[in-house]
Amino acid sequence: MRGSVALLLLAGLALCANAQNAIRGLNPDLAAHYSGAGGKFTCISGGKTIPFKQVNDDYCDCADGSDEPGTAACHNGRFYCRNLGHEPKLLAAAFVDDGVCDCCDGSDEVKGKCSNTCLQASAAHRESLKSNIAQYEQALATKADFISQARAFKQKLQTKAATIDQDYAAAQAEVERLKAEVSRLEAEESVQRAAEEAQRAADQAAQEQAAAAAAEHQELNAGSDGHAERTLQEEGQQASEEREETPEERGRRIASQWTNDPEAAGVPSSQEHVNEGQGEGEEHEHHGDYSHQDQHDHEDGDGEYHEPRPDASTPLGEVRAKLYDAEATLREAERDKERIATYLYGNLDFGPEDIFLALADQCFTSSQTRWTYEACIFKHAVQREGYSNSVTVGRWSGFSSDYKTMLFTGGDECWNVGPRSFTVAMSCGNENVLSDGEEPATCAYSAKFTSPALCNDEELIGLRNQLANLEAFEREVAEKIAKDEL
Amino acid sequence: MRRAIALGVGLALLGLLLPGSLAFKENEFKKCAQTSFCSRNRNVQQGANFEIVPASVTLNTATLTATLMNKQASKHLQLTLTAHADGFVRLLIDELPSVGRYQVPSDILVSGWETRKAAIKEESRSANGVVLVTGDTKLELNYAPFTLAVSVKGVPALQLNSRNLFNFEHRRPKQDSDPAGYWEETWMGHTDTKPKGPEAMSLDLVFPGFSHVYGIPERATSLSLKATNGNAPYGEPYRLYNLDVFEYLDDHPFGLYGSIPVMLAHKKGLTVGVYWNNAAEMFVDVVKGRDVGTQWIAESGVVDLFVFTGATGPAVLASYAKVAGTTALPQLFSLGYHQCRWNYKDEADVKAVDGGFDAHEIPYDVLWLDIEHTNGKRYLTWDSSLFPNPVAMQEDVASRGRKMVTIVDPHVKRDSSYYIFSEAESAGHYVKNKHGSDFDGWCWPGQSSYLDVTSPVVRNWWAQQFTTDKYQGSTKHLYIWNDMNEPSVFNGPEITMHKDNLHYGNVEHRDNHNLFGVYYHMGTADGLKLRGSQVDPENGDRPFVLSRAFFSGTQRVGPIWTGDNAAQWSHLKVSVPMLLTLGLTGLPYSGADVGGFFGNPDAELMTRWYQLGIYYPFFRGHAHLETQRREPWLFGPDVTARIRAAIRGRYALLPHIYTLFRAANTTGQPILRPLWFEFPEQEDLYAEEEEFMVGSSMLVKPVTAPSTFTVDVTFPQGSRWYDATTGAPVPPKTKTQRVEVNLNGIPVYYRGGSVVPRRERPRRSTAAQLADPYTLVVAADDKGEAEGQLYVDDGRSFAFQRGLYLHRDFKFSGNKLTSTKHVEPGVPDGTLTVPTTIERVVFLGLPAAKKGYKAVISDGVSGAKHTVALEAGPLSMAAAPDSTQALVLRKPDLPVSHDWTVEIVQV
Repeated sequence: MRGSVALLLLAGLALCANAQNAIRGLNPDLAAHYSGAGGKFTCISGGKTIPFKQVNDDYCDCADGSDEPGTAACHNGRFYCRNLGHEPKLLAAAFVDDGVCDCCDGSDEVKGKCSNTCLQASAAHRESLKSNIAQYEQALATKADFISQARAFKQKLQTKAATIDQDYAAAQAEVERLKAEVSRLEAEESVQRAAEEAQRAADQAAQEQAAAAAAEHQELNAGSDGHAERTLQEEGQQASEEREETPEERGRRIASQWTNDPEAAGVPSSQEHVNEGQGEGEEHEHHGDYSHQDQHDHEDGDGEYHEPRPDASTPLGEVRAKLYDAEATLREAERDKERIATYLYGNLDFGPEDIFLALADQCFTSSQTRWTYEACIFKHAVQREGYSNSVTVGRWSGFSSDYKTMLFTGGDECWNVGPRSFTVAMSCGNENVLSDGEEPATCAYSAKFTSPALCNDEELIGLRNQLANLEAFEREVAEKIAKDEL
Repeated sequence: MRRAIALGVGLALLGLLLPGSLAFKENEFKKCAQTSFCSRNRNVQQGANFEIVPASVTLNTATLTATLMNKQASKHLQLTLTAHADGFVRLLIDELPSVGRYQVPSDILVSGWETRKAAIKEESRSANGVVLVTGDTKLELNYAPFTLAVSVKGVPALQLNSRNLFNFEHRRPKQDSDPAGYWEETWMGHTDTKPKGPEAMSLDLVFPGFSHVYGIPERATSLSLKATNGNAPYGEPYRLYNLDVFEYLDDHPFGLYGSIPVMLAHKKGLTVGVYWNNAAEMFVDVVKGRDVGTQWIAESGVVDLFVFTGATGPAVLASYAKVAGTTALPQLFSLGYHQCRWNYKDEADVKAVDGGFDAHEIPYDVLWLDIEHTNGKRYLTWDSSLFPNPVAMQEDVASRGRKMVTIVDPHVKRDSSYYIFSEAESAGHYVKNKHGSDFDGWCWPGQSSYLDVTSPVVRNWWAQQFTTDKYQGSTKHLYIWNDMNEPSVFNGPEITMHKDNLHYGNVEHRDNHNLFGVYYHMGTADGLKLRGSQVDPENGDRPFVLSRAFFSGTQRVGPIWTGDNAAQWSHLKVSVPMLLTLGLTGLPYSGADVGGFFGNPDAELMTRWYQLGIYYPFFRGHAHLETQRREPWLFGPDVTARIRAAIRGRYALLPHIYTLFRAANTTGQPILRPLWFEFPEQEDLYAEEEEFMVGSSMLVKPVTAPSTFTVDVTFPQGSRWYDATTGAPVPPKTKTQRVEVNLNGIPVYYRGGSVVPRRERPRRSTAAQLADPYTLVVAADDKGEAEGQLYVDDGRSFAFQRGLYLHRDFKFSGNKLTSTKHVEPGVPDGTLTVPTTIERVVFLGLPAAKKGYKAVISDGVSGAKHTVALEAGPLSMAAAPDSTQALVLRKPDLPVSHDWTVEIVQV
């Protein structure tokens, strides 16, 4: 979203650059040095003087490269592309006449090699500015929403804070009461069931008595066989822990030397799941404390997995359902206690106008080839591989003073390095998005985060100014073209 | 399910072991004592059992044949000694009658030399021997005991079996009394069944009066080979068995990814070379006393020994090249800088890195993609989520004159929905296990089979996979990298294939193990050649395929690199002897990963590595998956500037480097040379490995330690030397001089007597340099003379083989610098002309002239003359703009394609 602030300035230069057309690649800023007075040229720095005819003669005479603004002769020369209709550019001399079109006006290559794409480039620039402005406006609207959400969230917590202890105690009491009720009803039911069972058993015993004598011995045997089988299985497992590795395990172990990654070889890639084979050995365990949702709303759900609500059609079922609801209420009260502790009394910095409070209780993920990074703002950040392996890369440490970075520190220990850390660079964007999770240094992780919360009015004003300047410049160029001045 | 649980346990245990795993696992690999064929021959004196049967000795023009008897076993061997016109004699020893022992296939070597024989003259014969002469070489064959002594120009060069260590194990039936290890051997749970039993050979080669031997790569060790009867680890023989060695050490006799059984011995007045044409596992012992004694033990095959008798280093290498071939002339782009990383992760990453080079004005030519670019390590496919538009990506990179490389490894994922796997499976193209079914090993993709590239049929099929219609998502701008071709098998013995696996022709893997890599490399290169000829039937481009494994003959196929080194100063340092050794064994197109593969180099190590790396014949930066990003601009502006200057320095030197590659291509000469190779009479240089020559005209002294402010440079005597940055002459004081260094560069010198062509404009790639004018550096010797060459062709096709090249000789003598056509015997005449000119000539070492000099330039075509004054100025505007050490001829615009003369006269 950062545009070209220097556009107007450079555009102005471009329009009055005609005078020095004779010297290829000359930066109009430096035109005074190239008057040719006395048939001499003095290198801009260093003071060496050469005949003026040696300017742009494709041989480097000046240590600063100033005698060859329009050729590739000097290793440090600078070629000025006028790029009329778009932004002028100072190009490394190395890129002059090298067969690659670097300037949109094609002036860096021999005539006919490149087409002039400056007007298209300018148009593309204009369209991207417009699109940026539109997005920025939308982002700022979202930001306003964030501020009110943050305010509402805080107010709600403050309201709750007044009664939270009572509410929590009441919810706890209700759960206890209902648990007792459930126990009582279950005890009643079990007495009843026991009686029924006893009756049924007596009936069955009577039926089976006839065949009992012959079958009894076999049944006993079956029982002991079953026992033997379990023992064998257990022994087998123990043995497998001590036995020699299989060819596959050996392959994986050797592969892991190269990457410190036990599953380096044969690990399923993103497109690999269609295939049979190596995935077999992996356990896809679901962890109760982890949700695959990218984002949690702080008003409902805690991301944990719960049993379905019991069927309330029987008397016991009805009380169980009530207990279920009461437990949910208690959990919510617990969370409210935590929220109040964290967000009201936790001494955390939520940024100007508490705007980052709008992101409270939310987690954001960035999925890379092998790893997924998850940042839960004000809490912690983890790096996951597949579903089962995860490592805490840091706990909430705070924002940088300019609110451009959030930092998670004190994560899980890393061999030879210390605790892991996670640094997230923040910038303005239309939506809350975590991206580019990586490990630039061993156990020091990083990612990028965009959010409307990072956008500000000044940037929008800057963009609008840029667009206005660009449009004015385009009108000017169009007029000149109309007057055939070009 | 049970399997899944067991695996879980295994992985959990592994997790605990990981921290300790970060080092060379010496005990994962066999030592001589743990290897039956080595331990039963090492230092075991069995040579006296062998005698020539006098009546069997027959001399026929160029060939002597004889029967060699093993008295103890009452077995006969056929000995054939042939003199060849290309400067060598060849000794073949095989069982008599033949039992079909394995011989290295003829396509590993080149052809032509077999029939170019040299006459052998019988000088004398006695009851117990015969003395033969061929050219300057004398061969003294003693019958009982069997010995052979070779001398060249009257100087003893080589003795065979003088220490009684020769042995040749004949095939035999199995007997109950056979010791353990004869018919079966187990190593770390892998049992090698040996259906043919023991069949090893021991060669006892003594280099009389020598102190230094070189060669037998690949290992991270000294240039002059240390004795192997010393302290650990040098109590073990050098091993030649291509292996994927994890985190190899920087000073160790252990053999790495490639093997070339070539050794050179050098002493004052004589260089001799030997090559044992054998691809089985081999151990080589070196002991030193008055002589250098070596014992070579190979597990199987035959004795096929070449002795190169050309007497000088260059002659020995030229002779070896007649047998094993010369370096394929590489495409010019491949001599530029290569940027690699495991892994450039997606198309956006590629675009950003490519753009980074332009943004920082650093030249580079090739961007590489490692294994993660594939769909699940299925080579020749793309991970479509990361690389949805590979063709557009390559075209974009190519629009700035650059290329890309993808990795393709020889293990093939066993997945019937993968076309390569299923096609090769149904055609029976895989290496077989001992039971005859497709070998199933473990590598990056998991369960894998391995293409049996020792079969010409398989290589032919493999080559066809590289055409742009077959390799989806490839373009003509894409080249290939062959890794893991030792072959690496993660769950195999010593991380490679079982020796009782079976190849084409029912050959055991034990016999041809060391050929797998070169054959795979060859098949891939053939593929790119085929693609090139489809893209442009007239002038298809030369293949570019990098390999890790190698053998004799790899030089004809493409470059190699020294594998997985580490970001340590010691690895920077050892790269020099490693590359010098490869140059001395016919494989000069090689390089080490700049920066070090494992670990994170700091800015200083990175800087010093680039400053050295620009002289590597193959120049690539590479890094491990779990290292910090280290593109040249990520270490701060000062470091970026230094690395930029270094890489630009490489590009400036490319005309010289490419000319050196032409010499490697025609006569087998190395690019980087040990000092002794250029100064063979200076004995104190024979072990010098801390500095080296680039061709014959530049001396380079890398800085190999941190915080270095001075280095001691040894200047070979008899030459003048000029600082290659400033042009300042080195004062002719002592041989070794302390020189100050700063971070901006390492000490580099021009040798007096050289003319070095350069291109000083710092372009973004080799393609962008194509039309640029040249600069000639003329560094005068004591007599005021100098000479040099420039080789130019289209830099990409085989047209040079039809004479479409330009090769000039520059000679400075009697104050006249001339350019004439270079003519080389046996090479078609160059007919190419190019419009390029020489924009600058800098003279170093002209005697002082009171009023200065002027140059009188005569155009050899028109005869016209004009005069230009010489100015005192910098050797190079980029490196030392303020220096005035050189006399500069400004803009003479001399055509490179034509004859001309520039006469320097005092004003």
